[in-house]
Amino acid sequence: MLALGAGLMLARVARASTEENWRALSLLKADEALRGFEADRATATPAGAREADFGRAVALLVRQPLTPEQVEEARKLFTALADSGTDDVAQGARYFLGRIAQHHLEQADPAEAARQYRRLLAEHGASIWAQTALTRLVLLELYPADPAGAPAASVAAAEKLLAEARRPVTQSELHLVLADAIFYYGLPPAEALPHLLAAEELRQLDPPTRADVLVQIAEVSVLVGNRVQARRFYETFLAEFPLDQRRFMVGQKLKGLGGGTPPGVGR
Amino acid sequence: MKLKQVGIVVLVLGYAAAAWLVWRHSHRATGTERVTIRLCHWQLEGTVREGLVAVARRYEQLHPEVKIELLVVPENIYRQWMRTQLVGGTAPDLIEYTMYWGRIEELAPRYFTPISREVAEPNPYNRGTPLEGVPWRDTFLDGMTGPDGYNTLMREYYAPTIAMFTMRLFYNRTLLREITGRDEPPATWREFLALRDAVNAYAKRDGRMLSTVINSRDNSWWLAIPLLHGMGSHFSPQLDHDHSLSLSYWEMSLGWLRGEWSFRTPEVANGLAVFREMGNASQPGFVQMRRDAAMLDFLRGHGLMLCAGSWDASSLRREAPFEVGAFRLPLPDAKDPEFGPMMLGPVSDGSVQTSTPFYLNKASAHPAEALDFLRFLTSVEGDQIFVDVSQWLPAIKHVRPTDFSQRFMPFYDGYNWGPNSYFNGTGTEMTMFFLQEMHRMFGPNGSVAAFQDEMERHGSVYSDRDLQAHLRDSRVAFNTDDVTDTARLRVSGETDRLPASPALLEAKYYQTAREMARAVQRRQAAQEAHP
Repeated sequence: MLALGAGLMLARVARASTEENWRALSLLKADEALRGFEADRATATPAGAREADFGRAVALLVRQPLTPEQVEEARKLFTALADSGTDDVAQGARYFLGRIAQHHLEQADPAEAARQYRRLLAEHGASIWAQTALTRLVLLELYPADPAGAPAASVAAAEKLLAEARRPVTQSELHLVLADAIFYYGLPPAEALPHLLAAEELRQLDPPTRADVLVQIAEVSVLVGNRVQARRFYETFLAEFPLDQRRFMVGQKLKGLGGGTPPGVGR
Repeated sequence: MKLKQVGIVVLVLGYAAAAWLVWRHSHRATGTERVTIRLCHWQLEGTVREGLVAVARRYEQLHPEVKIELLVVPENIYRQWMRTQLVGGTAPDLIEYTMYWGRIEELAPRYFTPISREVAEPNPYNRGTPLEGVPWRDTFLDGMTGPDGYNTLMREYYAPTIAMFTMRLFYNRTLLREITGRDEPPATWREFLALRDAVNAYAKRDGRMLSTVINSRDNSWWLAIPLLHGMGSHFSPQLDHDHSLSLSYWEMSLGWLRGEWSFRTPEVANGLAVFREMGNASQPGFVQMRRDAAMLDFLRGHGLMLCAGSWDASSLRREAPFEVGAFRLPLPDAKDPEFGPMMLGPVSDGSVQTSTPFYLNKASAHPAEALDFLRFLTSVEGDQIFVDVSQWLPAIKHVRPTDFSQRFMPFYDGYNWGPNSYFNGTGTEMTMFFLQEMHRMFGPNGSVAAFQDEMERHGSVYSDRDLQAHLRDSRVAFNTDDVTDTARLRVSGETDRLPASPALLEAKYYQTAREMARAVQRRQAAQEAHP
């Protein structure tokens, strides 16, 4: 009994210590977290050791001064973790392998990043790591390394990935970046409208983004001749964002649509 | 037998050690000593310092266990001082900083604590007020959506704000009466120009050194932002590619890179023409003058008006030996014979944007207490105390401005395309280049064309620097988000947000990189065509 109690206590201490290391890392105290994870690893169970190695590798990505050698050390740790299991740590490690290829190397390797993301999606499609990877994979489709490609084809390829989005937060992110790419490439704004409407319906937007999306839906609705929809979204915007700088301009737009301006427009 | 006893002793010791570790992890040391929270700022204007002191003293009454120490560091050395303190780990718990000084993407993840979770909860100090139960962020007049409140790149709320400002022309009412026989300031741009001519004639007649406007390098910055933005409002829809009725940093920057706008764009050039008139109505050498020196000039009666922000209003009220009035610079309207055809309509004072933000230092030894003070400072009671003493405009809903500060309330019923102005262009480097070269517009030999030529010759050097810094900072922010969001995910297990930067922001990174590569190609082609 005593041994069991001691074991449970020590496990609790180990868990608390791991949590403290992650907390330190959430505040970017990389040195402190690294020391903690290294200490944990010495006494950890196999599962605890994997968590500690994952923590070490993640911390290496922000320990200053950040050197290419340090990133390479992190990459090796992630590779070992990703190739030696299918657990959450392995998935997280594969996601980070994609991120290293995408943003950490002196010369980015988008093909390698896409390969890691696609593998994660194929093997663990619904996991949070795969869903996060999906939002980065869409960017690689939308903005290929070779800028000579046709924008419409890039958007079409990215739209196909929507089928892989299993969580509302992922769906929302994907619709937003698709609408934004359509605007950026100067494709017909009407093509962005379904994405904006879908993003709004998913109710995942933070307040500043929601304000933008409501205005965007209304503005594009005017362009496609859907005045009823435009009015509805202008009015929703005015009701939800009484202090937004665009209030006067939206009031003018509503006047332009006819049918009067809602009370309280302008201050 | 002996071995068994040793085993039991080891087990008991192990149990005791584990129990002690658990206890240590779950109990914070509790002391009876008073906690000291240090806050640093640079606000030496009028009674602003006293305003902050008044809030601190009230908080100490409510919390005798906490002492609030306020450190005032002069503005001209503040940034360097703050950096040194942050790097050395000796910075105060609460730090005033503004993203207008740049590099917030680099500073924030390293040194400041995001407070997104906290601002989603009600501010307990608003109990018994109309803001009871309202999420803290929604108690701010701008919903904390200003650039310091909500950092779009980091997708985090950071700094609660305590005030709001507008740019105004303050005037010597006694002198105005003497010159024009009237009390009222000009109501239109043409009236302003007529007043300038009257001042010049008066000065010549009396042999006095008198300027229409006392200006400074600092305040011309704040004047140029709304002026160029307002004058450009007729053109702005052409840059609004995402149909949000607001120009984002990227629309402004990528538009510049693509050549969609420049300082020769007719509407922007009109803004420069009005800015030139303002500069020519100002005292010679103002482009080198700091705002404190300019205020002294005004107080000594060397000018009829002072170009300044409402932040200086209480200083003027306290120091001026004459009656001071204030008015909004009347920009040309749609009826103006010269600029009218390119004006959309009335121009607003800008976004509802609150300011004077305080960031929570990541290295604070007492983050809970520091955050609690911030809650009080930005409660209805706290902000009212501050506003009453400082004479600044409030940042919090249901806080009343004083009778004196009421006159500086912003004018919102006009066109406004967001916080990004043509003046700021692509960022800090371009802003500094504008300020460095704006002298080319002023004086008898100055012209808008001379300024435009210089911008055309060298502007891209500075815009490239801005955008390269932006790409670098973005990569740092993405990496930081990956790491901190993963760490939070490991601790909390929440899956309602993805452990990464918003994909929309990463999309902007790719768009910027593409446009920069294209701009380089275009320049090379142009160079080859005209070596």
